[in-house]
Amino acid sequence: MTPPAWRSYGAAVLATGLALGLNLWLVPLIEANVFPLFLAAVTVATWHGGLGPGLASTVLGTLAVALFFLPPAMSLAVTTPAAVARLALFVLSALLMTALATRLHRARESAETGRRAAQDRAAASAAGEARLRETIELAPDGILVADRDGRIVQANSQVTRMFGYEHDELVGRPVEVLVPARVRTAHAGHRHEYQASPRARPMGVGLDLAGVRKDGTEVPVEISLSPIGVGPDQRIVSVIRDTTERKRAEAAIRTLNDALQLRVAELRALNQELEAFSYSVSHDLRAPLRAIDGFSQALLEDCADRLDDAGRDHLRRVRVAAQRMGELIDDLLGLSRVTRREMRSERVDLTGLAASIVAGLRRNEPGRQVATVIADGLWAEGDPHLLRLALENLLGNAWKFTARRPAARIELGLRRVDGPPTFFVADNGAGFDMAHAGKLFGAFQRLHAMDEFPGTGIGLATVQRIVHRHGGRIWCEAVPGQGATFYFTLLGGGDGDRREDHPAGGRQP
Amino acid sequence: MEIDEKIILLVEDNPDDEALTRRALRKANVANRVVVARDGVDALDYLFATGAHAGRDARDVPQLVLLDLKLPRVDGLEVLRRIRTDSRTALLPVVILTSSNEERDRIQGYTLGANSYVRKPVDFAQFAEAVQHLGLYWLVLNEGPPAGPDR
Repeated sequence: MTPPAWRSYGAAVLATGLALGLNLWLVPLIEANVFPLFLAAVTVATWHGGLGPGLASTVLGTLAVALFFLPPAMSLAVTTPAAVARLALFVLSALLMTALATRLHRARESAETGRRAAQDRAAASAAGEARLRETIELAPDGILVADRDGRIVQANSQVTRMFGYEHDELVGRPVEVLVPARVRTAHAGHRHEYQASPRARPMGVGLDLAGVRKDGTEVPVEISLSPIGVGPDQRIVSVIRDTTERKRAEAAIRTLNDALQLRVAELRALNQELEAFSYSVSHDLRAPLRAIDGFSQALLEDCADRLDDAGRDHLRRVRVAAQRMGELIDDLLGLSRVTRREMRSERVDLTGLAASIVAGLRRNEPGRQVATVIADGLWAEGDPHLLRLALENLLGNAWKFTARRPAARIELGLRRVDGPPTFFVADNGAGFDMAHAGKLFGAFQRLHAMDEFPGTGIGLATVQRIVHRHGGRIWCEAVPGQGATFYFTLLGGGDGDRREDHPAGGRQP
Repeated sequence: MEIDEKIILLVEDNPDDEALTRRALRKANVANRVVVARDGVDALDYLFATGAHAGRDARDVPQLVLLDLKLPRVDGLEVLRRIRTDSRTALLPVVILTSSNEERDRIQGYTLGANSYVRKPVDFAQFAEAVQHLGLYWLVLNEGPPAGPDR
């Protein structure tokens, strides 16, 4: 805008110097008539730089006049009255010129300022309009502007892409060109109703709206309307969203859901079948066993005199086998109940649970001497009945497989390495070869001979199911002849520190 | 045991189980007459003197019913329900004697008003012991309900 001060003053000095030079050069022609050029310099300096440079030029001009053009020559002294009068006249004229030119300068400056402001405004407005256009163009939805008569005024590229038209093909045509023929008349009617009370709202709430493309195919859409302005210049802006993808996704979800429903129904049927099967096993399979056992016993009692020792032994074996099958059936049912049972979830005191289980084991076999170490403060989030069953099996196994150990030791504890808290039940019993560990958790899998360690082979399968139902994992480590350790995790639980409750060999009940 | 011959109604479809139960009762010195109903309909006909048992005196209510659950035609729980809803038999002692140890059956049995629920063990020795206890309790120790309004 305003030139910097050094330039304004420089211009003042330059203009005055130029006037001086010209005057010196023209002295032979113009004689003492040197004032006009200096006044011109003052005018130029003021017009260009304003009041300050104008005054500067005035002072310089005055000095130059006094020095060069008033007697005595080459002296600033002004002695003659005529010279004083001339100099005074010059100063007065120069100041007048300065005053006048200052006003000129200000007028020019303000004009300049106004012009620049106008320019800036225009640029800003152009930028704003460009941004708006860009926003409309790049909007993810189609935006269509129509006038009061329903003629298309503007359509963004989403609209042209969605409907397959060029922009120019749409402008000026009625919006009904984008409405399927079957609802075109109705649409025009709705448009007139909307015109009567325009407000921002979605169009055709609850209806499946469709638009029609240039090629005649339909596209499912969702439209919201809003009026801009009032009176004859009012515009109606429609935001149009292509819902093809969403409809496809919804259809896919519905299909998936239907499939899922079907699977749920199948599973439910399967579960019911399993339930019926278990019930039938529980009831029908045991009846013949009862007959086998009962009539064998009857034979032993009623016909004892007609049987020799071998015959009686055979019958005893028949009874043992029948009873064992009864146990197997019961355990199998127990296993299936673990799966079918509805889970409760509460905070379960594993330390207390283990202590009561161990106490029960001691009561059953008071002759056994087993050191048991149960960590303090163990707890888990889960079903108390199932967790008890799991611990009963694990501790019962440890108890059973340490039967031949003179210094038997069983430990329940918690190990925290990376990952979730891991409980473990360790014993120094018979152990097993890890080569067979894979079979361990299968139902009816046994790694020891029946006469060595009795059992149905269903306990660990039960434990595994319980652990899995609690979102956990179970695994084991074992060395034949040295013992086995079973590790398991549960979704919630942990804490605990060691407590040697029977360090001396455990004689407590 | 009781001098007046009170009837035990054994509702049992399996002849083997019937024979074993009779044997167990005999070993427990229970001398009562045992009437066997082979299914639920038969049991109800006997109790209410209808159908095949029409003409029987319905007022002659058994002293004890041993009721299996899984029965042809009408199942044991339904028999129990009808026994409890009829004023003539509402107070009749009913012991469920079954193979099932499903929680569901136990809950339903007790809900419908069973007096006891005994699971038949595979081991005959245990079974005989259970029957002996039953006989001792229900036929000797237990004081039956007073005579009903119809009697």
